[in-house]
Amino acid sequence: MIEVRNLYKTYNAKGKPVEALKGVSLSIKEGQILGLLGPNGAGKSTLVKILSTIIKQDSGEFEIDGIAYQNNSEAYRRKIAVVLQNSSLELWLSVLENLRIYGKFFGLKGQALEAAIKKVTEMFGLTPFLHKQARELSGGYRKRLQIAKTFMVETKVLILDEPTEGMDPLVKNDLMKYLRQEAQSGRTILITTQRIEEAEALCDEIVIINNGKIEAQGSLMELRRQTALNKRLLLHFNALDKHKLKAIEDYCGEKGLRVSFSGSTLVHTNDAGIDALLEGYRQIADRFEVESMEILNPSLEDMFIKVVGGGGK
Amino acid sequence: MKGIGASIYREYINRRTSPRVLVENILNPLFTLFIFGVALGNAIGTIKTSSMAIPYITFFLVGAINISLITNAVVAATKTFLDKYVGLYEEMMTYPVNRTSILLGKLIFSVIISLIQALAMMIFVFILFPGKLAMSINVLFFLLWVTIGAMAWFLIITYIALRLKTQDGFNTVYYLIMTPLLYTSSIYYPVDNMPTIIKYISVINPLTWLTDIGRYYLLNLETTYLSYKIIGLLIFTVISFLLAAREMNRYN
Repeated sequence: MIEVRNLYKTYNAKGKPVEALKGVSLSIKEGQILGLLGPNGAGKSTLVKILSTIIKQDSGEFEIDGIAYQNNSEAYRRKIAVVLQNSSLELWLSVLENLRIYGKFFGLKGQALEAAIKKVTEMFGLTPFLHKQARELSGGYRKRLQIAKTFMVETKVLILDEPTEGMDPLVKNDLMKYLRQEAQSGRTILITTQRIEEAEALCDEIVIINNGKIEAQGSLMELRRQTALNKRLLLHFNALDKHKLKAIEDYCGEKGLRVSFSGSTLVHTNDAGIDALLEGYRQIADRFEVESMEILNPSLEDMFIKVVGGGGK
Repeated sequence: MKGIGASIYREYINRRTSPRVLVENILNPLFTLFIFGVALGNAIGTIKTSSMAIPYITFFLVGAINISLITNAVVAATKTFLDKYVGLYEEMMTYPVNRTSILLGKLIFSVIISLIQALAMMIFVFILFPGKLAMSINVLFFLLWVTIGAMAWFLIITYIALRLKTQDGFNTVYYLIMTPLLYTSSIYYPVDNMPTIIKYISVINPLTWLTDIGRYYLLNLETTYLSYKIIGLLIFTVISFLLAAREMNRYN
C-alpha cells in the first residue's frame, strides 16, 4: 500500500546542514496501523511532511497504491487525509463551517457533505458545539475537530502527526477505537507519537526512528527479537525490611543472580532465557517468603530506551 | 474546478463572518476617497491638462480605486500569513486539488470584492458630487480595467506573501516597495510637473500604467505611451500570475 524507499532530506538550519532523514525505507500494508516512534527531532515529522506532499525529499521515492507523487500529484493526494501537529483550523469560523470547507475541498457536496458532517460530529462529540467558533473550543475539542475532518472523507490512507496531544484519556481511547475500526475497514494508518503506551496498544507495526534513521522496525514481537531484550522475573514480597533485603541481596550475590529492587518487589533479569529465570525464582522462593511472581515481556518502552538510548543495533 | 469552487467558498465564508469586511472593503475606500477628494480637491481645485480641466475628486477617483485594489490584495496576503501560522496553509497543500486552483479561487473572490468596491466608489462620487463625473462611462471597459488591476495587485502581492516566511518580513518588503511606488505614480497627482527623475520612475511604475489607462478611458484624460502601458500592465499581470502559481506549487 505505502512504499517508501531510501528517503533523504537535509535542512539548512542557520547556514548549517541538518540531515533530517538518512535513507529511510519502510512498507505499510493495506489496513495496517503503523506507529512511528521517536524522540523530538528524530525525523518523524519530516517523514510525515514528505509523505503528505508538504515538503520534498532530496532523494528517494515513495508511493501509495502504486501511485508515485512525482508521476501524478493529484491522484496521490486523493489517497491521503492528513492531521498535522498544528491546529489547522479556521479559528474564526464555526465547527460546521470548518467541516463544510474541508469536505468541499475533497469533493463532497449536498446531502453527502451534510451526512458526513453529521456522522463525524456525533462520533467525536462535537454536535453541541456545531455553531461555536473553533477558537472558543478547548485544546482537546480543537484536536477532535481536526481529526473529525479526516473521518469525513474516505481516503485510503490516514496520516496523523501526534494526534492525541492535548486529548483527555477518554477521548484518546475513543480515538484509538475509531482508528482500529478504520483499519479494519481497510484504511491504512500512519501515526507518529511520542507516547509509547499508545503505540503499544494501537499499532500493528512499529518503527523506531532516531537521528533520521530507522533503528528498529516490526511488530512488538519482532522488535523484542531485534532488540534482544530479556524477560524479567518480578517477585513480590509481603514485607521487606532492611535485614531481609540485605539477606536477599547477599544470597543473590553468592548465587550470581542479577537482581534489583523496586519497593518490595525484586526484579530479576537473566540473559539465559526463561528456564534460568525460573531456576533463579525457585532458589529465592525456597529461601524467602515470596507472595507472588510475575514474568514480564520487555515493554516497548524498554525497547525504545535501548534503541534510542544508544544500545540499538 | 473543485478546488476553485471550494477556495471561493472558503474566502466567502471567511469574509462573510468577519466584522472587518465592511470597514476594510467598503468604508475605508469611501473614506479615503472622501477625505482626499474633498480636502485635496479644495486645495488643488481642478486638474488642468492641455485639452481639459477636471475636478480633483474626479481625477482622484481612478487613483482611489487603484489604492483599494492594492488594499484588497494586502488583506488577502495577511490571511495567507494567518493560514501559515495556524498550519492551515500546510494542510491545504495536502488537499486533493490542483494547487493553482486554490490560488485561482482566491483570485476570483478578490476580483469580485474589488468590482463591488469600485462600483461603490463610482456611485459614491455620483451621489455626493453630482455633475463631477459627467462623462459617459463605458461600463464594460470599467469592469475590465478593475478586473485586470485587481488581478495584477493580488497576484504580485500574494507572490510576495507566499515567498516570505513571516508577516514582519512581508510588511517590511511591502513598505519598501509600495511606498516609493505609490508616491512616484500618478495616483494622487499628475506626474507632468514632477522633477525629471520622478517622471522617469513613474514611466516604469505599474501603478502609473494602471492609473493612466483608467483615466484615459474613463475620463478621456490624455496620456503618453498608452499602448506601451497597456502591454506593460498585461505582461506584469501574466508574470505575476506565473510567479504566484509557481510559488503555490513549490514544495521543497
